[in-house]
Amino acid sequence: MVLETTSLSRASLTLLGVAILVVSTSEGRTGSDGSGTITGTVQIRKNDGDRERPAVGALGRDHQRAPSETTTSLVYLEAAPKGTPEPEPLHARLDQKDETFIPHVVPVTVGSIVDFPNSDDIFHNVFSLSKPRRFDLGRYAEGQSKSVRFDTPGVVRVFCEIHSHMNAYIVVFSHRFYATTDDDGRYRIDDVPDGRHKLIVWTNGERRAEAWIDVSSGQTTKRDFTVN
Amino acid sequence: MRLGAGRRRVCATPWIAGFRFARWTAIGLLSAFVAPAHAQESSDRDLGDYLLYGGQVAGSFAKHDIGYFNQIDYLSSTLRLFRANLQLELRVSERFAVLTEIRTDNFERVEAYAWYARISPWRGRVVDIQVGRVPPVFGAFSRRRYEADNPLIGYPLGYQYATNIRPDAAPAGLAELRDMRARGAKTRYSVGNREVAPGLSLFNPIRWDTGIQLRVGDRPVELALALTQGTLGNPRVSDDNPGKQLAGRVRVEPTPHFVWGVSGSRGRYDTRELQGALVARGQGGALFQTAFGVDGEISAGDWILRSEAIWSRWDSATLATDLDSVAAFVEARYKIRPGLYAAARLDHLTFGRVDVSEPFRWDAPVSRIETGVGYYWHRQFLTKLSFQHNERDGGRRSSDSFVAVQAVFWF
Repeated sequence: MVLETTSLSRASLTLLGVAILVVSTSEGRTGSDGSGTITGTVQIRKNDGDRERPAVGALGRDHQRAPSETTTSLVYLEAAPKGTPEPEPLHARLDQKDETFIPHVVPVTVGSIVDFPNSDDIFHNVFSLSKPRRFDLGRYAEGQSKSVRFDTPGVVRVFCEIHSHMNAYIVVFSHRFYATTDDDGRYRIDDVPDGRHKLIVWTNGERRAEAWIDVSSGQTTKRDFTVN
Repeated sequence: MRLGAGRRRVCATPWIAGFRFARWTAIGLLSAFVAPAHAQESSDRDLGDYLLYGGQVAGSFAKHDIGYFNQIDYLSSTLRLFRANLQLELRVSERFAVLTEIRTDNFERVEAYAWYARISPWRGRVVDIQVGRVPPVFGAFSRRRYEADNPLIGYPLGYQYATNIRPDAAPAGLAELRDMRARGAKTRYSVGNREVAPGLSLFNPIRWDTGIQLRVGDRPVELALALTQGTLGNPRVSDDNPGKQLAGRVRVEPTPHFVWGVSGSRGRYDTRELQGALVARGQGGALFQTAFGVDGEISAGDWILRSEAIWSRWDSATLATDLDSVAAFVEARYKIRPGLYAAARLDHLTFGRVDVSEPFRWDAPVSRIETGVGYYWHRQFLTKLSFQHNERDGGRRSSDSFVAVQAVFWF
């Protein structure tokens, strides 16, 4: 399945790129006798992150905050291999600490529940206006937590209404063939049915790279990426 | 200098000396912090690391406000206004930045309403010094007056409504003042500038004042002080009198549910033109606007409740009494569902009584209710619909109602 990328905005691409995971068939051939592993690294040349807006009307700079963890990438199969079972729902957590969402990217499977605890001694107000899941948790204080269930695949951008610099991503997959990169940029996707699959690298809300990859039963296929 | 009716005399010299001292202090700080901090920066930063930008485009539409209930600067109405602004921040280093906001209202002019340097001398401590055309320290709404932050379309009366006080003109007596009740949009007096011009609002947060500002502390207590050219009702780039304004605010956040603040300011508001006319009448003397404000915010879940009150006193040289006024509002916002909210504001502006024999309020009190809804189509695109009703105790048009719509996009 090929996307016409030229006429679409980046945001649309992002949404489409993940929403397309709803489709449970793949152009890749699925091996019938086993599965393999995809592994590799994602190196980011220049991490733009999310630019702040200038605080012109503020009386001064905000106090020091922990920087957003914007170096995490997601690596995933564009489409679920044919015949793979529905993924199990997860129970994940997106913390609010030092006016930062931790982690910056939370991948989950369809039907998963994400908890949003407030670990700061101030109010936060988590919300999203993304099409796959619109929600607004209202203001709540330290020690309290609220939860949201995600039933539709896609990218859900999460913000805090009070602190405009806070943002995060919840990426909802209709399959389990995805991985987040670690601090060194390494990723690993296990139990991938053998066959030809399209691998996507997604960083900071955008598809940064893609590659067709052949997975053989019992083998580890290595694929490194360098993205901008 | 002779004083009107044996009243106040304030020597401006300490203010001037203080301001010059502050200016040279600021220049010294700039020199001290820019170069060393810049030298510490790594060489792999690109333009995006130095330059932050943002902006907002907002358009409001309602019928013509012929009673001038919503008039702001340059006779624009907040309900019938196109406003575009661009904000830039040049982060020279962690401790030094230059900020500006360029804005146009109804395409009438393009002006840098903010331009200042921000110095943060100590890393890890919230101490900031801002020099230039700086944001106001007084009040709470002044920091929420951007269309994207204001849940309704209109402004609170104390932040917008033109009273019949003029910095460049004064009534010769009570009869003249009485004639100008409810005519703040087009006021004319016989002392000083005799042209028709709008009067001052208690607080004008649209134009920013010029000077030096200090912020110290963070939650739960924050203090901000500013020494500037103009006054609360008449912020200025270049001064038109020898006096300066000192303003301050303390913000306290004892719990996340509750934030409150107190503000104060005192600055000389009379222009040289008015002062010359007053001196010629034997009524010379510095005239000050003195103001105090209290504000509070309570929030939980889907609710926010805010309230704010401003008391202002303008000195008068030609009348036997000073001119007091009080503005107060209560505002609530409730989120109905994700992206959709409802809001309402009750607002009142009143004025002190003058004249002993036949007391009357020196300007016509105004009451306002505004209710509305807002819907976020996108995180950065908001539309609002509001209904506003105004009642005024005087004037050719003593009441008026408006249905207004507004679209706001920001980036």
